[in-house]
Amino acid sequence: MEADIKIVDTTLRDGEQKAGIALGLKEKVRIAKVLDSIGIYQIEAGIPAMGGEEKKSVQKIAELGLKSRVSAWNRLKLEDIRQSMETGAQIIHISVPSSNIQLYLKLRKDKDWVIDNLKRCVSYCREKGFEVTVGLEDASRADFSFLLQLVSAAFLEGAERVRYADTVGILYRQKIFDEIKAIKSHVDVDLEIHTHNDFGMAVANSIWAAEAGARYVDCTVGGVGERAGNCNFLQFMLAARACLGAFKDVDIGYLEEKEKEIMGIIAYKCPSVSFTLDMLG
Amino acid sequence: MGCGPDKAKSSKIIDRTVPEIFCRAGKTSRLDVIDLFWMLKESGVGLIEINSDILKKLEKLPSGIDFIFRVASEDGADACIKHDIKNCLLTENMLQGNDMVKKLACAGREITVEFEVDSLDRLYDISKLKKSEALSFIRNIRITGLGNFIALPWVDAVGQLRRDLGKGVDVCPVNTYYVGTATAVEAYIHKMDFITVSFAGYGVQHGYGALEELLASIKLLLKSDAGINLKMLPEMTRLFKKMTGVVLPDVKPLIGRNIFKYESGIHADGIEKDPSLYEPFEPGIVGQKRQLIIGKHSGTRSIVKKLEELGISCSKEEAASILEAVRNRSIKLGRALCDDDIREILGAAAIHRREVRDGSRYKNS
Repeated sequence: MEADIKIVDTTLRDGEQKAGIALGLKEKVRIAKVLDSIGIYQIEAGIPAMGGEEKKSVQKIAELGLKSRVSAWNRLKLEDIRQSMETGAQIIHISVPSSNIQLYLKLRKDKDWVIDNLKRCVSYCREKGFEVTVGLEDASRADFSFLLQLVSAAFLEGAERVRYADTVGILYRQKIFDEIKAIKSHVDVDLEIHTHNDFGMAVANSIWAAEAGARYVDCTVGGVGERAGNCNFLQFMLAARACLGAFKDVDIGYLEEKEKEIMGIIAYKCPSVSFTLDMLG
Repeated sequence: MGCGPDKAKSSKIIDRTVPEIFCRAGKTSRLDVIDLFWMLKESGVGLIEINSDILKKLEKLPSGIDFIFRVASEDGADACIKHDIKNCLLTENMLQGNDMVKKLACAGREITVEFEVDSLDRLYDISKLKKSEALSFIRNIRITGLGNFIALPWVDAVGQLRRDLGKGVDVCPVNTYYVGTATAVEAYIHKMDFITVSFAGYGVQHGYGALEELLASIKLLLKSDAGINLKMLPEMTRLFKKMTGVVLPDVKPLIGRNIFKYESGIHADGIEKDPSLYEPFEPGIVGQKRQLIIGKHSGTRSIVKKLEELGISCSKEEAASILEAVRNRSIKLGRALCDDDIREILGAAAIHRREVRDGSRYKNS
């Protein structure tokens, strides 16, 4: 898969957080191999801080020597990050609450605390020689000036990329297009878009973010994920071809085959799960 | 009622679900169709599209609901006039013979003509119609398609078309590339006169923008109430399934049965503090309820809360002591745990009832 847009597959992290999915090490490794075979740029393999089989799964995937880059997801905590480092994942992803509601209701910390800890965690990863990406959790409900502060802080500390996360799926064109453009005009950092499908616009929002300059797009196979799911990988590929002229050389038939293979692995392990299929087509 | 362009008002929503059901499913009862009509109206739909087959099935249309009738023949035109349906829809090729158009216009029908549009050039072609005699009889233009239109030029081009022709515009986005709803929302933001969608995006090939997603976006994202009521979505979903036989995915936005189930420790912890942390809106707005699930991604707070639901009080430390067992059991079973699974784990961990009278307390023995 060669295009200006790079896919970050989060089936094994955010996708697996869909209520009722419970993959073991064996399934996660099999899925990672299939994702690698279709040229996915980055596989977000899981959350090592959960410990147990989850941490072992990330470790095993990192040991496979895949062409895809393997990342591990972390809260804004050094103890979580250390767990991820032990797995051998190449990329440490740090999720930073960015909206007031996340800061004051969930984290119960102020903005200075968040920025200080962001700097500390990114700096720690860089010192240890890891590539770092920073996720702006709930960015779509955040105060935009604070978003810019976070992006600048992450960039100056050496984060390779910043993820704009539409955590509760409330984006629409005007907002995402304008905000991605505005971030790019303030800070010359690579941007990644992470959308949810609560209003049926995850694919469109990802397309618009890419059009505005986000070079990395998060997807899950079959659109699995919390609530109404995430940006559906295959649907995004088809839309990106038609709307942006990207992925022209990709064999969609092959992707469909591999999507079915992954869905089969999940469905066999978790038979109660249903996917966002084109049942209306 | 009139349906001409009115830039001061917000877009009127047209629903085309029922003709799509008749086109594909065939058998459906008269009462179900009428029930669906009323639900569509109550949800916020302004005009309901019908055709000759539907009219034939119903014989008489319910009063109090506004319809737009798809005319496919001379007989259809006569039926539209006979049943006093104010709005009618013709296809582009019907403009060639002016007689039917004149007949409908003379009978006071408000005519919309549908054009399939898959490129901006096509919109420019349609603007050449301003020289056509038939245009004087037409009230609105429906633009069906726009499947791969993501950038703003389509909005400008449609606006220009509206100005050039002096007609109202009805945008009916198809969902070929999964941007149908987003295009419909874009049309609403830019005050297109009408937007045509279908329930669950149901329709030929990839279907259309989804009615419930458009209505929810207008009400909850754009904060424009417009008389929208989403509480009957579960009932509409049930009826839709009955009429079509289509099984909707459990993650279908707004109407999927599992969209308010939550499991992961981070989300469960957040929802416990304030549901708006991890939910875009209260489930009750769309007639649903949230449900806590216990599984691989659960944290100690989730377990404490689940045990409370089961009438069992336990400390965070007690919950932490069974967390690994819960996760391992979930991975082994490949699913969320049911209440009996949880009770079994409690038994194996030798957590016993502490004091029955004091609200079913349990403790580690």
